[in-house]
Amino acid sequence: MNFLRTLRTGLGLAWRDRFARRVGLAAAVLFTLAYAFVLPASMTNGAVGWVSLRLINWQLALWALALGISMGGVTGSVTALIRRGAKTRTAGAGGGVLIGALTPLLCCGPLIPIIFGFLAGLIPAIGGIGGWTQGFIATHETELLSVALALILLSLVQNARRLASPAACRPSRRHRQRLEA
Amino acid sequence: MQYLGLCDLFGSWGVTPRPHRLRSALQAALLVLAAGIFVVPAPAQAASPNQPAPVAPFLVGGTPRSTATLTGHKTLLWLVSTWCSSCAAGLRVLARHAPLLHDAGLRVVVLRNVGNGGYPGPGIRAFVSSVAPALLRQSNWTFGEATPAFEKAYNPRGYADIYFLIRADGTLQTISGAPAATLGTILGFVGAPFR
Repeated sequence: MNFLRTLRTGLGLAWRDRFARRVGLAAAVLFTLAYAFVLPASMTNGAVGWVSLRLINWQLALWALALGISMGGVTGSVTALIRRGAKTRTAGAGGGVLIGALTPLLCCGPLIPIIFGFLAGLIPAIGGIGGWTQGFIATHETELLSVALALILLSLVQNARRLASPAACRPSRRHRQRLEA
Repeated sequence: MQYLGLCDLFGSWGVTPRPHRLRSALQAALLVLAAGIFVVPAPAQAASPNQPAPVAPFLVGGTPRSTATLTGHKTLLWLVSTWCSSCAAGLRVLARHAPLLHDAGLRVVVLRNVGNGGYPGPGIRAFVSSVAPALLRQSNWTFGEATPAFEKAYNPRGYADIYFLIRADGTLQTISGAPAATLGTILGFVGAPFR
């Protein structure tokens, strides 16, 4: 319960910061749109654009919304932390974005066969791993997107906790130097 | 108790590990990989546009057939892996246009890649039955399995989803993939309007 209160306090602080709120909302819209274009790329052999957006279904739309809103939250809280001169945590969110974007792009397109075809020329023992890798990605898309979402949410929680901690109210050394100057 | 760090270990070999060395090594490896993709020649692919479609055997219900029998009709020869989402999406989209393709005289041959493209999955008929069962009753559609010789001729790189548009005279017109994204190409091949 204490954890939830801290989370709510942190996110509340980010929401009350008008600039951070605007940045977060804009990021949520942009990330949702970007995911709406990228997620159906698993059905287009990696082609992204109107061709992929046309194929979006309600499950992928929900994923795009969940990932986009979470990224909006991370961006908003990171903005609020930066404005307070506090340290931010974005590694988790970066990993989440990478997994979320690569999963549909690598699934059925030619990239993995080309890379593994080249590697198999150097190390014949890895021949055939490319197809297995693609098959694994294709059949575990939901799990991989869940990991991506979990990483982004972890980053959101870490940043919200930092916002809620008293240390976030203290200006950083660089910020203090700038204020003194 | 004394703990040995990486520096102690490498130091005993006269090597000092530095973070930037690791980064440089990773960058070099990525460069080699990127260069290799473009420099290493593609496997000899017999199937190429405006050339006669290679003659290769495939299996339909365990019975051997040959691509030599495909001449005389415009043909969509499609290699799929049953785990691949672009294959399922493509099958759904083509099923929606099945009457149009039938009227245009297009024959569609869908073959499962050898070893299902390297990852287990349902057989070709079970796959079609789960995605677009009506296609199993279409007279102009054939479902089967590629053979290693077929894969060598048509899909040496092992793409999960690749198709060939073969003219009635037996020459290849187009090599592409993901029919859901390239439906216009297929409809253009049979002279049907793309909507």
